[in-house]
Amino acid sequence: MRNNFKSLFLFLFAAAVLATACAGPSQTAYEPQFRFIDRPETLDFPELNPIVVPEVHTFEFNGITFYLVEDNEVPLISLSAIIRAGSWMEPNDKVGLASITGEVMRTGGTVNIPGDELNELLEGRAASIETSFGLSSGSAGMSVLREDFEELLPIFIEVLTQPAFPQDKLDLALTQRRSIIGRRNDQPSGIAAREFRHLIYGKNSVFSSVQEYDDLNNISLADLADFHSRAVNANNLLIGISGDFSVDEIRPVLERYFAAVEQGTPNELDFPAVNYTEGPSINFIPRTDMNQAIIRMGHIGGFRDNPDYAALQVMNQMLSGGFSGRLMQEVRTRQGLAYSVSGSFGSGTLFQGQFFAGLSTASETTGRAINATINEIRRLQDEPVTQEELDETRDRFLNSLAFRYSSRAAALSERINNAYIGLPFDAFEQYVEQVRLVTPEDIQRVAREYLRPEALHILVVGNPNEIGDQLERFGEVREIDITIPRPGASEPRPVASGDAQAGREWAGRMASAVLGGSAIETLKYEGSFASSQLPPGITIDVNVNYNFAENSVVQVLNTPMGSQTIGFANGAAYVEAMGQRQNLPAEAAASYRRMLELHYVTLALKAMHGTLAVEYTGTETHEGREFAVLYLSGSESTLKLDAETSLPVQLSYMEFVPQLGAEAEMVMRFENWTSGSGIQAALMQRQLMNGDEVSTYTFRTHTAE
Amino acid sequence: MKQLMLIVVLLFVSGFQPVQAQSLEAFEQRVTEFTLDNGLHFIIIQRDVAPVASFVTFGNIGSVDEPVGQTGITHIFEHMAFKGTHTIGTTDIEAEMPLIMAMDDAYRAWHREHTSRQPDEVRVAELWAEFERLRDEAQQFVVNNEFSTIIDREGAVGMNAFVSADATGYFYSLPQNRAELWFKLEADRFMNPVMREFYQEKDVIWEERRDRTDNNPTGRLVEEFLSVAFSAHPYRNPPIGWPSDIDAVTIRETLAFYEAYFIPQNLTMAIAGDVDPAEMRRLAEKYFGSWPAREDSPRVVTVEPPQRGERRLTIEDQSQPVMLIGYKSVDEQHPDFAPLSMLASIMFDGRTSRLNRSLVVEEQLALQVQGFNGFPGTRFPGLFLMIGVPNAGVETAEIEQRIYEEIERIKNEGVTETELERVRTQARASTIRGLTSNMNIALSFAQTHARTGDWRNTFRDIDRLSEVTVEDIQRVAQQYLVPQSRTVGKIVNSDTPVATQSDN
Repeated sequence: MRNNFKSLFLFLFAAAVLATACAGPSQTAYEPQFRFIDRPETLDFPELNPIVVPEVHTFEFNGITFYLVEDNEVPLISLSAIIRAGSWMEPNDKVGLASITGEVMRTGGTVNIPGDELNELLEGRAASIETSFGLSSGSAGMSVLREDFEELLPIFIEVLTQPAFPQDKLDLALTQRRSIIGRRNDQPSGIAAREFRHLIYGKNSVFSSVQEYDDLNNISLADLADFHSRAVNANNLLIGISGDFSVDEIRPVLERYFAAVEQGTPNELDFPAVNYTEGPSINFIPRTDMNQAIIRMGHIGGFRDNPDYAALQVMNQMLSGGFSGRLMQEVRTRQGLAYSVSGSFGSGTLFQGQFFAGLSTASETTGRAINATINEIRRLQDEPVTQEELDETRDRFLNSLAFRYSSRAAALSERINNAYIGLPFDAFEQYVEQVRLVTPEDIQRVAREYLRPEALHILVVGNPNEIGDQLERFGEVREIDITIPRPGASEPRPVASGDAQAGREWAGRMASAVLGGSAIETLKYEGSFASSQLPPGITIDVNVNYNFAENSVVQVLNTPMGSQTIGFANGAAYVEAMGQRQNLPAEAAASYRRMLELHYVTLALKAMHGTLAVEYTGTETHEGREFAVLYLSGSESTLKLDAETSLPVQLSYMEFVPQLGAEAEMVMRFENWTSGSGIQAALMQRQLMNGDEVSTYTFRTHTAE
Repeated sequence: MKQLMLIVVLLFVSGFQPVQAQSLEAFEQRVTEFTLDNGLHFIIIQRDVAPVASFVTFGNIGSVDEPVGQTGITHIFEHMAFKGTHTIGTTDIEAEMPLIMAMDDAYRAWHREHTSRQPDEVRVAELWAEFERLRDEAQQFVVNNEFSTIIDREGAVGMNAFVSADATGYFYSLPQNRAELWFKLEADRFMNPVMREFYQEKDVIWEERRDRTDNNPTGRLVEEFLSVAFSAHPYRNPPIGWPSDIDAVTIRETLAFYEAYFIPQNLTMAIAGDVDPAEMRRLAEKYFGSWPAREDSPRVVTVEPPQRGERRLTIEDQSQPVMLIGYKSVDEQHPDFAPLSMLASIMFDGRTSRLNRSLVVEEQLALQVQGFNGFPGTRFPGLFLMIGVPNAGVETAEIEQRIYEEIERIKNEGVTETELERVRTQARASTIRGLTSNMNIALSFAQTHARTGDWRNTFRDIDRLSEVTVEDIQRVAQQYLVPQSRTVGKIVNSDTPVATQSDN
């Protein structure tokens, strides 16, 4: 038994060696055991059951066009209004106004039913009312149980026409948008989509505008009310209703309540021309945490109103339509370069769409993937497609028409959308007929006429350390800076100008007053720390050690929970607690760098060596004390000295505070100057932000060396 | 006031009751079920809104079922299931098959040498060259994407598949007269799978992993979070697989996995749309009748041991902070599953939910707070999960603290009847709203059947939710939302603001 077991083991071992050592077809006896199922070509499909086009009833009332479709599958009713207004109407220094208006219409509720009450009312009945504005249209929708329709309809109309716009809900919307601005570079795919839009439509156009902190700071309740009044009136509304009702019964209900909506001037859907910059260009956005490159390439697309529209759509299906498209076949299946591939030839009704192909690939195959994609675009121009490939692509589309009315509401949205953008109601039927007529020659002709592979804007988001020089072969690489602009960044800061000679003299006096001529390297304080973040009356013991020679600072906080060290050295900031050290982000490091740079000892040392850029701008008097005001141009900060003692009284500068979405005035006040170790030190230091006290250090002693 | 409240509550209750009854009754009349002799179960739902139908193959075969060292194999099989069969996707199956298997042997030989302690680089290169030679030779017989092209051409919509921790699903919709195409191709791919372009497809899977996990800060956090929250249970493994496992898995292992799990008695097939049930039954017998039943699949035997204290992790990333908090919860068969789900709804669902009201609207600390019960799955005890996204300038520690305070409040004071009634109504309504498309109905009934043995539980689950009391909710909060069974994970930004105070 034992022997048998052993020999079995040996045998298995030998087999494994054999298999690994000389693998080849001859070694692998494989008998496929397939259950025979023949190819699907033998199938003969029965005739398709007829496509029933749901009847859309329309009528006009009070300047509003209504579209109704009965659908009694479930006892629900949905109403959706399209509003002829959108972000294209926003002033360009208030980007986001339309979207904020849509949000606060709903969150703020009405005078009669404030937003929070509205939430309770709707969610208690599993109903919803929502409002929003996009680029070229707004929408307001309601979905309710059949029996709640008549009761909730007047509330919907009230939300639509008489929103309360309370300040607290505007503030909430602004706070959240500030957070969203701060997070907009978190997801690489989001970066790629946004920046590509900029390449096509330009940076400051209504088609690609991006909200900044400045925009938010410009938006007030009056702006919301103004936008709302221009957007919402009866002549700007198209209303679709589908669900469990009969047209005859619901029409009087609609007329009763929508009579209250005032008429007004309809907005014109007139969009500015796209100011397109011709390619080619190769653009790069570096992100060192990636192992994949996200690629988008393309150029301006076209208009819907084009006799070649159908041929272009068929061409695009052949290029990037699903699994059967050429890009998927070549780039994913044949070359394994990507998981998902996408693309479209955008043909807008109101403005030009974008033509693009997009994919993501491993960093090291970035160049190959770009080439493979360009090759597929060129191939459409260089080689005629076969009749077989065209038929296959066309069949995909024609056969899928069975799904056109897979919900009865689909008929409704098709009709309303056509009406809104000004297409004939049978635009889709016309399109289907044109698709039937497309020939292989048409595909090559439109590919040559409308695609410009030599003039592509190429955008890559990826890791520069891994991608290396792969992009250079496509042209001169332009790096796009996606740093989020801080408020006021576009306007030059007011620069105080003054007397440089007097400035140097005052700085010299300050240096002598503080240092008394000794060039110290280190300064240690011991004391305590209070902060607005801590409960009132609570202070924490703190030691602060500056090393001006090494440009480092270490703070040790002694809390009841143990001690914690926060430091800055060699350009990096860190925190150390319970034996664990963690690096702090660059912003924390920048804040410590500034703390060191603006420390009065640093300023005094620089003044001693004559390297401080300083101008005297005048003298101020407060409560009987006279101050000399100095402007430090290197750090854009203002230093006030006591005219009598020449010691610093306060230092101030502007700093960006993300939670405010704005710059705030930061002030450091120095009090309780005490001599020791040959220098003068301020033992009380208060920090204020926009006039509010943020923190206070109260030191017992200082030591300088 | 109290009386008024009661009336309001009653109104709410009556609101969705008739809908529910009507729907279950209505569906009873439209549903036909049958099980083939081999155990394969079919649910046919007649719905003639349009001349189309949706087709779903669903099984409780998920990443939890994967053998050690083969994480991601269910997902790899999913990719293979679109590569064709012995007649589709090939010009000569007889020539192709031996090459595929030889290529597999060659890959295994290369992988073994390549990952050995001291690889012989010359040998590694030779083995790789041999593998590439066989791979390219096999490739000559491949007809690219033929399987999906055939389906696309017939007008298919929404062709896709998924693999989660718990389950796997394959689905698409077709014009109703092409139902037989689905039967033929589905039978072919599940009865005659071919591991065509297996190693080329791994490159695609690598890209998928890069898309979803490696280059997505939240994806990275979730993967690490689960691996910390679970010590033993396979919920700790990502469905897409650990990179080294994706690298190592072979064709033979994938076929062995298929043989063990993709068996008729493990699958439920659902068809919803404008179809004739008798005809569907005939086709089911015709195409799947010859598929032999096999021995039942192995069960997941690993049970997560009790957690003995809070677990915390951070990952550094070029992203603003995000936080996950998970408490060990129960599986869907457990009586506490319903009250825990209702608790999550009260805390997180909708504008009136507790955490939205306090953290997002009133205190404006969070951009978003979300949560639900049963992550990453419900077949086994999972997590009661919460996701917190702080507003600019707010530390995750502050949000974390506030969430704990809200939990304590529920433990101490409970929730109100009004809150409970609201989430009951929402649960009913969302079930009804979800059952208005062929695909949703088919997926939902197939899944409920696979999980519980009866599609009707889609509706009975709502009843079970209705039986939950405010006392149950308070009790489960006290019992499950305890620090000892908690895992907290955070993204710490590597180049913008972060906590200067210790988070603990």
